[in-house]
Amino acid sequence: MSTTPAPVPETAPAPPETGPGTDISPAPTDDPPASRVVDPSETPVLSRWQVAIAAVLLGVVAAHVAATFLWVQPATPVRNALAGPLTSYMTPMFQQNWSLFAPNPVQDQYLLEVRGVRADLSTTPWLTPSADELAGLRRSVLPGRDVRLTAELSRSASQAVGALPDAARGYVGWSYHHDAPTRLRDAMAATDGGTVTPAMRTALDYDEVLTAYATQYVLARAPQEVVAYVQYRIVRQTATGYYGEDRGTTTREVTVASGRRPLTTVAGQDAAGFAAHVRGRTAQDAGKAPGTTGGTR
Amino acid sequence: MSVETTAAPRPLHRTARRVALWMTVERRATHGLAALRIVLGAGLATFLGVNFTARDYLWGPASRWAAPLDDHHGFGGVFDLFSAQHSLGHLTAWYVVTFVAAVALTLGWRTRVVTPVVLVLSTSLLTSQPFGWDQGDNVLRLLLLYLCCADSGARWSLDARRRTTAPRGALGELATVLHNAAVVAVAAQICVIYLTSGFAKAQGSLWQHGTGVYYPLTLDLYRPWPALSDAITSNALLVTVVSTGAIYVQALFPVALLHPVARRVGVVSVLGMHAGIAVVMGLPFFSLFMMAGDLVFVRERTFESVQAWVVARAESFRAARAGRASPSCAPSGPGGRGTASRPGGRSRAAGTAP
Repeated sequence: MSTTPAPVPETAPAPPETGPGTDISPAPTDDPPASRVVDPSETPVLSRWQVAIAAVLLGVVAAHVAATFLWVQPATPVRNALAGPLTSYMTPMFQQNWSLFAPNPVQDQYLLEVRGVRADLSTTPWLTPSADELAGLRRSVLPGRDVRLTAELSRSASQAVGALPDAARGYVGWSYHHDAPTRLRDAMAATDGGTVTPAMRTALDYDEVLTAYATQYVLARAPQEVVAYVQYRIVRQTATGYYGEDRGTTTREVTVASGRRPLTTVAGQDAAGFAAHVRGRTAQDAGKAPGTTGGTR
Repeated sequence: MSVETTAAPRPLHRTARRVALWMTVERRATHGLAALRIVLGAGLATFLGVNFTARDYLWGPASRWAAPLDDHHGFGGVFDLFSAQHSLGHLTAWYVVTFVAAVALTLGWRTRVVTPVVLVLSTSLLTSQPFGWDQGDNVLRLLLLYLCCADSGARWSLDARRRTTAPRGALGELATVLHNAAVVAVAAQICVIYLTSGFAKAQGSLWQHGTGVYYPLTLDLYRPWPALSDAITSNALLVTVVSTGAIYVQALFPVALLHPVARRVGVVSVLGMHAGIAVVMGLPFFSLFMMAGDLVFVRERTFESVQAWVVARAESFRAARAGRASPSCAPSGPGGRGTASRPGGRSRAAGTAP
């Protein structure tokens, strides 16, 4: 066995009969300590660069896993201190969140309801896009992605509107028969000295999206109606407690109810495609009862 | 640390040597990563098939109503292939390309190229709709990303059929180290998920008191089979065992990996848990992608015995059919001979079955 006097010595590949291999740490990186190895039991001869690359890669994986772990944890002093660099590393590629069913499981669902308003301010019945979508989940082994689409939209929208201060939130219920986005924005901003806060911006975006969705849905489901405006509302259904008398049922409350908005269509919207899907879905699920009872089946 | 030791290596050196050997000598978990590739590919292809008729509503110009909130989930650049501002024809064309790529991944055709292609295509599609997103999207993307660094085509693939010799040379050695790093990354990612989910549940009063599973099963959102959900939620023992079990199975999963018997129990438990979530809660794709990740914790030897068992069964089935068929088919021509000749070629593989 020969070694050079260099700080990082080399070992000649030892023939098996010379006994246990010499073990040296060149340590080009410090995690984990790497060795040039001659193992008589397996007799693999590892080149220095192989070991160095293994050490570097393990270091990269260790750092990545540490960042991932920190990212999914609740706020701690370390996580707060590193929030900036952590966010720029983890998003968008490594974004993840494991808290939908924790610390407590989801206990409520948000359902979108929309209706049309005629020029004389008489209304169509409330239509139920989320319940219609959820009917597609019934008795389905491989449900499509559309079954929870507007339920998720409604949950986010309800949170966005709920995050507004009371004064600004009140304006969502006001009716605007023309220039709704601008007038709603100005009304909200006026409650905070003329500033459109980030929370207001988000809530205003949701109002536009929900109005645009309501427009498409009413046009698709009530094509015979001549409607001038639409309204949307979000219904929150909460599972009653396990120990309650009414176990297995849900309570119902309206969390957001908009005023009237003019029909709104985003540029490039494929109304025919939207209507075809919504009508097809309804026809397809007509046989499936959209109610909430099923335990006796 | 730079001092040479000539006697018996110190424990640290022994550990370092074992780590270095594990990382460099051979490609680890090749069956597990091949299974991961197949499940991700087949799962994505199935997802695309299931949603084909809803593609315009979800990702096409019929979903333009969502434009004010469409931030592509923070993705851009190469991940911008799909967008509601494109035509339905554009969507359909790329949708079919994505489906074909997912099938190619499943079959293990040009895996090294196809894996990053599937990553880009699937991420582009799924991020083009701001709603309807679930954690299955994240699991799929993360696992595909790690697979890009791995030799997932080493087994059960068209690539493996084409390979005549084991990979050699500096490039092969580099690929081996990279592959093993990817195995570590997949395993660590799955452990982080279970550890986080388990500990988070342990902090919630509803899980602590054994009623956690009752709540989602009461909501239409997670109730595809109401009779099944009611059967579970009306049984106090089931509710308690499933709710409390979920905490322990997830939080203890990484620890269970340290012991051979506990590891088997842990892997079977998480696979069972996700199979249950898939059916009972109507979350098949999320569950499938999680189960795909769990497969890296199944030993190579287990996959090999399963493979041998399947081959042996297939052979005895063929032999039985040929045996039954040959007396009556023999006069009629070559059909019977054709089926009878096949199992002979496979007999050696079957002979290795325990």
